[in-house]
Amino acid sequence: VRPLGPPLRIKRRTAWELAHRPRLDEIGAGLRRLAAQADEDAARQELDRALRAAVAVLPRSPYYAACLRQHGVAVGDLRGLADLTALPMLDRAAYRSAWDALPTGDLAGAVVVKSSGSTGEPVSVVREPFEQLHMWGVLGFWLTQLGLTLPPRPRIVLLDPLPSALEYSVRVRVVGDGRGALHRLSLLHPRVRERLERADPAVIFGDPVGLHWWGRVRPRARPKLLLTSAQHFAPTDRAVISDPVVNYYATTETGPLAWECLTTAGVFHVLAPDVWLESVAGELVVTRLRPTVVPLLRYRTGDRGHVARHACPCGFHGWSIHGLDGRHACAFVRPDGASVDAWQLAALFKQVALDAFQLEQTARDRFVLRALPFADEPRLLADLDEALRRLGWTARTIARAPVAPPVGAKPEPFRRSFA
Amino acid sequence: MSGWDLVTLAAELDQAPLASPLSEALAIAVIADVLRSGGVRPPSVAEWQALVAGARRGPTVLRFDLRREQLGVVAHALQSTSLGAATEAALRASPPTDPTAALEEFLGAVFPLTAEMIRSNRFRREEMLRRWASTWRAAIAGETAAASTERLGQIDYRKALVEYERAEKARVEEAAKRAEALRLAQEAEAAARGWRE
Repeated sequence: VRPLGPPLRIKRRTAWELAHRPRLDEIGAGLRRLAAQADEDAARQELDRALRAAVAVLPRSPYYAACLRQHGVAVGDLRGLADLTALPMLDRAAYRSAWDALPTGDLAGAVVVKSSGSTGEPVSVVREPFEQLHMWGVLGFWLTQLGLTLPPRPRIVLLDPLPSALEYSVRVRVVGDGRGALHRLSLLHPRVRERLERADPAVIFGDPVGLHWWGRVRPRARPKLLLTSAQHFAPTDRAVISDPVVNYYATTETGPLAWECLTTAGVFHVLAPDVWLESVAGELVVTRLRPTVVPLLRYRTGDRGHVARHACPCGFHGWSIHGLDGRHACAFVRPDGASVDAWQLAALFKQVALDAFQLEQTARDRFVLRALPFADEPRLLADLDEALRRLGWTARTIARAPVAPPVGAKPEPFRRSFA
Repeated sequence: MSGWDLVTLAAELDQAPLASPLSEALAIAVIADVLRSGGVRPPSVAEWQALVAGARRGPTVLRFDLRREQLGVVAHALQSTSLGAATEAALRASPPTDPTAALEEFLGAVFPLTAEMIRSNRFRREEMLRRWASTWRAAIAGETAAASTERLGQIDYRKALVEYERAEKARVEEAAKRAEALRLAQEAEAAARGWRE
C-alpha cells in the first residue's frame, strides 16, 4: 500500500532516549503523588512551586518577553496559580504565528512537528528531545495507577487506521525494562491480525476506530492496557472491550492533558502537576507546568468543559474535567451503509498550507471540499480520493468549492449533511 | 494591626475607572490639596515644575515623560477612592520633613509604570499603592513592615525591566544560533511515536 502524503523521516537511533529515563520516571512519580494527594492546599502549594519554576525562564522566550513587557507583568508577580490571570491567554492563531518565538533556548535535538490540522489550521510545534518522549512517562503513571506491570521486552503497538497506511518498527528504551519495541501497524495493510498476534503487544495505542476493529476482530492477544485518543470514545465502545482502556485527552501543542476515569464515564482526571487547566467562560485553557523549552501559559484549546476538584470513587484525588466537549464527532456513511470516522482524513490536511477547510459529505458518494485556493491542491485532492477509496468508497466524487468554510464558535472541518 | 487596606483600595479603584487623563494642573492641584489637608505644605510652583520635568536626576526621556500620567493616576486615586483620606491621616501621623523630596522619591520608584499598566494590571496597581504608602510611611493592614518591604521587592517592576533587558541582550547575541537551531529542528527526523494526540 503506497503511503499517502510526503515521506516521513523516522528517528531510528534510540540510544539517546536513555539519558531521559530518570526524568521520565520523575514525571510518573509526580503524577502519582498528586493523584494521591487528598489535601488541596498541599496540592496547590506543589503546583504553585511548579509554576514559579515554569515562569522563571519566560524572559528567555522572545514571545513571552514581549508579552510580559507589553502587559507590565514581572516574573516575580506570578507566585502561584491565582496570579495567572495577570497574563493574557494565547490562542491557536497567535501560537501559529509565534511558534518559532516561543522557545526559550536550547533547541539541540529538537524537531518541529505539525498539529493534525484538524481545525484546518496546522500549527508548527517545537519539540525538544524530552518532550518527544514525555508520553512514555505518562504511560508509566497509568500502568502504576491501574496496578499493571509490563512483561520483559514489552512490545507496544500503535494500531493505525489512518489512510496514510504508514508502518514502522523501532526500539523503545525508556519503557519497562528498556528492551521494548514499538510497532506501528496499519489496518489498511494485509494480515494485520496475524502480525498483531505475532507481536503480542503489552500495550496498544489507538483511537476509537482501531478499538472498534479490535472489538470486532478480537485478535488472540492479551494486552495489559489499550489507550485511545483523538476522537470521541463512547461508553458503548468501552463496553465491547474486556481489557482496560485509557481514553486520554491531548493536543499536539500541549501534550497529554487528562484521562477519562475508568469508574466514572465522562470525567477526565487532569494530569497535574504536568499541566494546570482553567475553565475560562467554559473553554479549557492550559498552562504547562513541567519545565520545557517551549513554555506554554494560558493556551486556549478551543475545547469546552469545566474543571473542578473532587475525590473520585476510583481513588484519584485532584482536578477533573467535566463535560469535555472537544472535536465534533463526524461519521461519514459509505454506500454500503457503514459508518466511517471522518477524522481519519485529518492527517492528510496537515501537509498542505491551508488556513481553513471543510469537507462535507452531501450524499453517500459525494463530497464537497470548501477552502480558499491553496498550493498543492491537486495533490491533496488526489490523496483524498485515494484515501476515500481505501476506506470503502469504490465510487466517489469530490467537488471543489473555492470559498472559505463557514465560521462558527469552533471549526467544523468534517461535516455530513444528509441523514 | 491598623494600616491601609489594599484590597479595599484596589476594589475602589476598580469601581472608579479613569475615563480620561487628568491635566497636569488638575493633578497637581488634587495632590497639593491632600497634602494641605494632611497639614503639610505642598511643593512650590517651581518645585512642581522640577518634579514633573524630572530635573533633579535621571537620564532617560521616557522616565520623565511618564511623570505627568503617573501624577494623574495618583490624583485620580486620591480623588475617587479612600486613598485621599488615608494619605491625609498618614501625613498627620508622620509628617514628612521634605514633601518635595518624598514625591521625587515616589516618582523615582514608579518610573516605569504607565497609566495603562496601573489600570489593567493588578500587580502594578498594587505596586503603585504600596509605593505611595511607603512614601508617606503608612503601614499596610495585616502586614509587618518587613513583610511589606519583602512584597514590594517581589513586585518591583524596575527589577523586572533590568532582567528583561539582560535577557533581550542575550537573545540578540544568540539570534543567529537560534535561527540555525530552528532550521535544523524543521529538517530533523521525527521521533517515532506510539501515541496519537
